[in-house]
Amino acid sequence: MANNQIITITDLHLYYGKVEALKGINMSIARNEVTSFIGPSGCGKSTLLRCINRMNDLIDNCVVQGNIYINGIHGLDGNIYDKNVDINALRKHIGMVFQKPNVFPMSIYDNIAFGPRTHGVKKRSDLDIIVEDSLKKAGIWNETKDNLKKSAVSLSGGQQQRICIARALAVQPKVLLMDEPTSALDPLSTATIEELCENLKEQYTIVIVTHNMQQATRISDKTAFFLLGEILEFGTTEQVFQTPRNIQCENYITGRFG
Amino acid sequence: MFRSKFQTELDGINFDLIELGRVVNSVIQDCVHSLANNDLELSQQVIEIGHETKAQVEKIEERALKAMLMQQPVARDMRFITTALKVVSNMDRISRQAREICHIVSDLHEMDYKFDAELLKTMGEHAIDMVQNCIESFANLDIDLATKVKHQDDIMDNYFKELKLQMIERIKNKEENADSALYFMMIGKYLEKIGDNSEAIANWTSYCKSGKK
Ligand SMILES: Nc1ncnc2c1ncn2[C@@H]1O[C@H](COP(=O)(O)OP(=O)(O)OP(=O)(O)O)[C@@H](O)[C@H]1O
Ligand SMILES: [Mg+2]
Repeated sequence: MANNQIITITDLHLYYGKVEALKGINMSIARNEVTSFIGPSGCGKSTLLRCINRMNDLIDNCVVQGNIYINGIHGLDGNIYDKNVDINALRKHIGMVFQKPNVFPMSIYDNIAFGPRTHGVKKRSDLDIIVEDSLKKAGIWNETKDNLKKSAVSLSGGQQQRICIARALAVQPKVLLMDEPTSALDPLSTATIEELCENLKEQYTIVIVTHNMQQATRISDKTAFFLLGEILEFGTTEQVFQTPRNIQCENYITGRFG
Repeated sequence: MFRSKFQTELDGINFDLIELGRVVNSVIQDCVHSLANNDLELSQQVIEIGHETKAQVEKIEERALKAMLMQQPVARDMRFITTALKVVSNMDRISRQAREICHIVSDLHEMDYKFDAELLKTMGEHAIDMVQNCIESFANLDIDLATKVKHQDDIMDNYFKELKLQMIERIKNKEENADSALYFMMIGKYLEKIGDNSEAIANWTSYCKSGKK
C-alpha cells in the first residue's frame, strides 16, 4: 500500500506573509494515477500544487512548514523540503503546466528542446526525436510539424498550452502537475489533453487542478475537495461524485455552494 | 437551466413519481379486489387506466433524461435521477402486471371458472401492502420501510412456492377444478413479480438516500 504512494504530504502549512493559505494538509498521491484537485476559487489548489515541486520558493514572503515525501523516484526519495535537495532534479522529475500558457519567446522547436538541452541532450537527431514525440503526445504535432521554426508566441492560446504540455513532457518527468490546463482550450483540444492524461498514466503520475467537474469525473482516479486551505474530502472519484461524505463538498459539486 | 431551476425540476420529477405511485397503488388494489370478487367490471377499469399510466411514465422518463443531459448531475442529484428512472420503470411494470392479472380475470369469467384459491387472495393482499410500503418509502426516503419491503418479498416468494405445490396437487389428482390451476399459477407468478418490483423500488430508495442498495 505505502509503496503505491509516490508523494506523501504531511501536516503541510503555508503562509503568504501572515495569511495561512494551507492549514495542515495530509494526503498521499498514488503512482500512475490521475488525482484531481477541485474546490472554489482561492481555496489553495494552485498553492498546494506549487508546493509539490517547490515553485512557491520563488514567491517572496512565502513560508512552508511540513513535509512532502517522494517515494520511488531515483535520486529524489525523501523529503523535498530537506536542505540539500537538488531543486533542478526535483523540477525535472516533477514537471508543471500552468493555467496560462507561458511559452518562451523562441521557436516551437526550441521551446520543446529547451529542457532536454539543459539536461545535456546535444545531438540534433536525438532532439528531433524528442521534439516530435513530445508534440505528438500533446496532440499538436499535426498543426506544427511544417512550421517548427515558427515563433511559439504567434500560436493561438490553445495551441500554446499544448506546446507547454509538450515542453513539460520533453524532459520525461515522473510526475506532471497541471493547473487548469484546459481552461483556455476548445472542446476538441480539451478532449485531446484528457485522452493524453489517460495514456500518460501508464508512465507518469498526474495531479490536475480543474474547475470542470465533468473533467474531474472523466479523467481522474482520485479527487480531493479543497475549502479555505483545507482538504475536506479525498477519495476515489467515483465515491466523491456519487456519495460524498462531506456536506460542503456535496453542495459544491452539485452547484449549491454559498 | 440554472441550478435553482434545476432543483425545481427535480422536485417536479419527484412530485410526478409520487403521483404515479398513487395511481399504481390504486391499480393494484382494484386488481386484487377484482380477482378476489370475480368483478369483471373492475378488472376492465384497471385495463383501461393502464393507458393513462403509460403517458405518465413517458413524461417522467423524458424529464429525467433531459435533466441528466442538461445538468450532468452528480452526488445526490445523480442518485435521485438514476433512482427516478429505475423506480418509474418498476412502477410501470407493476401496473402492467396488474393489467395482465385483470386479463386473466376476464378469461376466467368467460370460462365460468370459480375462484377457489384462498392463497392467491393472501398473496394479493400481501402485494397491495408491499406496493403501498415501497411507494411510501420512496416518497419519504424511509429506509426502515424499504428494509421491511425487502423482508416482505421473502414472504411473497414462499407464498408462491406454496401455491405451486397446491396447484401441482390439483393437476396430479385430476381434481374437478384442475383446469383453472394453470390460470391461478399465472396470476401467482404475476403477483410474485409485483413483489420483486416493489423490492426493487425499495432497493433504489436505499441507494437514493445513502448510495448503498
Ligand atoms: N503569490 C501570492 N501572494 C499572496 N497570496 C497569494 C499568492 N498566491 C495565492 N495567494 C492567496 O492564497 C490563497 C489560495 O490561492 P490559490 O491560488 O492557491 O487558490 P486556487 O484554489 O488555486 O484558486 P483558483 O481556483 O482561483 O485558481 C488565496 O487567498 C490567494 O489570494
Ligand atoms: Mg489556481
